[in-house]
Amino acid sequence: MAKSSKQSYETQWQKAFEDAEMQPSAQLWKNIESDLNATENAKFKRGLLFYRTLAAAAVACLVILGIYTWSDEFTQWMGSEQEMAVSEQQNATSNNNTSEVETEELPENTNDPESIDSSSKSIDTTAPLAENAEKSTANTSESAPIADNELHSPTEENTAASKGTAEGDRIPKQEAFTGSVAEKETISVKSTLKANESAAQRANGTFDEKELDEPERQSLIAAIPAQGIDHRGMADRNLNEPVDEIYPIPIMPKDKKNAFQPVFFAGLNLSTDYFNPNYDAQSGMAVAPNSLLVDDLRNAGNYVSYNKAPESVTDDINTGSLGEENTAQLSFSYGVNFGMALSEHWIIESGLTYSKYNTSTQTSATFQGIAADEAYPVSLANNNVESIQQFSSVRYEQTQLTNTFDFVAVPMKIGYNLSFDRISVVFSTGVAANFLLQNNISDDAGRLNEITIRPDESSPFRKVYYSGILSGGVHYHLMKRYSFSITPSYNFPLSSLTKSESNFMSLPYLFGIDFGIRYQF
Amino acid sequence: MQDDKELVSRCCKGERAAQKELYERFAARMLAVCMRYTKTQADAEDILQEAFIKVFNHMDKFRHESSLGFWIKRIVINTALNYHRKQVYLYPHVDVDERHDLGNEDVAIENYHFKDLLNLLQGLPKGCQVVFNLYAIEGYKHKEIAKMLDISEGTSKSQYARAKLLLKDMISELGEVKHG
Repeated sequence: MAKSSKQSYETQWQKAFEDAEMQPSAQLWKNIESDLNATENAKFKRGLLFYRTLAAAAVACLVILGIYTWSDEFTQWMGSEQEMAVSEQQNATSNNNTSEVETEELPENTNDPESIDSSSKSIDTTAPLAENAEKSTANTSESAPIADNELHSPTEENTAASKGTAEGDRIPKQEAFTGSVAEKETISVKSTLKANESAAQRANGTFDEKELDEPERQSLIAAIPAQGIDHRGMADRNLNEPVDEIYPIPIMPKDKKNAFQPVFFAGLNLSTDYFNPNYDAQSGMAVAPNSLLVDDLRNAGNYVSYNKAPESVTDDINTGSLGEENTAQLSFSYGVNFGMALSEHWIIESGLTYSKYNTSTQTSATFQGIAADEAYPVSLANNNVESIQQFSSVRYEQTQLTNTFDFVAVPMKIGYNLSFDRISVVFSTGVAANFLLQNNISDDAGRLNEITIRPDESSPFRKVYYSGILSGGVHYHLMKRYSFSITPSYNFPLSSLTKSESNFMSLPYLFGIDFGIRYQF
Repeated sequence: MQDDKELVSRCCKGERAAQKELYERFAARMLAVCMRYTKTQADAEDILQEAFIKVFNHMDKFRHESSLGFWIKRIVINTALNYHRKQVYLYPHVDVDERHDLGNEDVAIENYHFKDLLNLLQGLPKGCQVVFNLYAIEGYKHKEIAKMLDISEGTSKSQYARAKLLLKDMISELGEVKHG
């Protein structure tokens, strides 16, 4: 009777409030909406910061590559532009000073057979652009008065030279010279004249090389070896034909520069890694109360209400008493890499890598919620997780956990390359910015709820930590442009993964073996 | 149920209109729950606000194993309990042996409007109010209440007994006022 009366009493209360409703104030939804907006903005800003950092890293890499490439092209372009300008200037000068050239320059040289050689030597191979070649040709055409009066074809010149006639002492015409020596190369009139002028000045002892600009200097450098050389003696001795025409081809500075061209490469890589977050309690953390707590939990054998907020619980438990010691498990990383060879030996490399690092750990305590399915493992990392803030019941329970860390890393490495036929060995060092995406703590038995910790304000983790890289790998060049690589590497911490105010410290280290395929552009 | 799934799905995507729809569907009912755990409407609205933010932020964890209303109510109750924990760490302990002899006579409340009963509940001491709510209205056992509130099972029982006694007196007074 008493029991049914009691049940009836409680049922009455339940029924009384079964359909109870009360209208909240209009302001309440506005407050909720405002809170939601703030949360979304914070998330957006975090996301934006992450992508901004990635974009900045990518832009920095592109800028470095771009500057290097552009500076090379710019140097070549500047050379062409200067040559064009000089050529045009000389063209104008030639038109204005035709008589001067005739009277002051040519008479001295026309008597000197070597001046012809010097002139022949001044082939302009530094004008690689067709446009420049056309301009140069056009300039030559415009300076026809000089050419017609003072220059003539190399055939005539050499034939005459071999005959020892006065005509043979003349400077060769450009068109004929180009046609007989190298069709793609042109003669700079300015250079030709300058070479003659220089020869004359050398003879007079008034030549000053410092007065020359770079294109002139190049022409002069080309001219020097030709002076005083017996062209017939330079001919191949095996030739049976009589030698009528010999044109020395200068070795230009550009050829030296072309000894090494920067090589760009890009590739894909897959790594097998062993990552350890290397947790450690901060110095000064109280140990005794923690041991007591865990002992209390163990002795109770079941739930123990712990009259503190969860963060206080984990503050009180040290790594040892909680039994939380992470062991690295086999993990994988995937990524793209790109870089370039700066010289025969030195390379720089960057990229983007996504990593999911698994570690195995355990805990001695479990947070328990109201319902049986609201149980979470106690971990040093989860003290500020919102979903477990409302629990204060803790129980001693040995639980095996998987602790997973998701990272996106941007490495920047410099390497030294040693090549042996198809195999090359690369030793690298560098730094990596490791962006933490999330940390997941899950029960291996699947009984406890999974906890996800993102690097937000309440998280003990930083958004990014930096690590140093040491690696040494072997590349096998399978084809002309493809190579496969195996690269063991070691990453050591340059900064802590945890914030300074966290109740523990994480200085992660990583061993990995990277398998990659690379394409060389 | 299908509507719930669609609504939850839209809420998970962060659609503000869906969130408002869900709020409008459950806010009034949940405010009545919050009111049972607090003394004032302002406190109840604070709890409701916090609870709905939790609901929206953790909507992806709702697995449709229970009704949406039940899931939200559980979050509201948890938030209310947490709110109490922040304010009162220790409920006055009354040993089971020292509790008042209540007898077996319970007062009938069928004829009272829930707002009258709510006023009575809000007139109880905080500890009694929470335990009475959890035991009589939510249907939890004393053992579960003890774990939830970090008190002993005996304390839970004694708090409930005390609440009943106080309510009996209050209802008697209310009846006298109403009837004459």
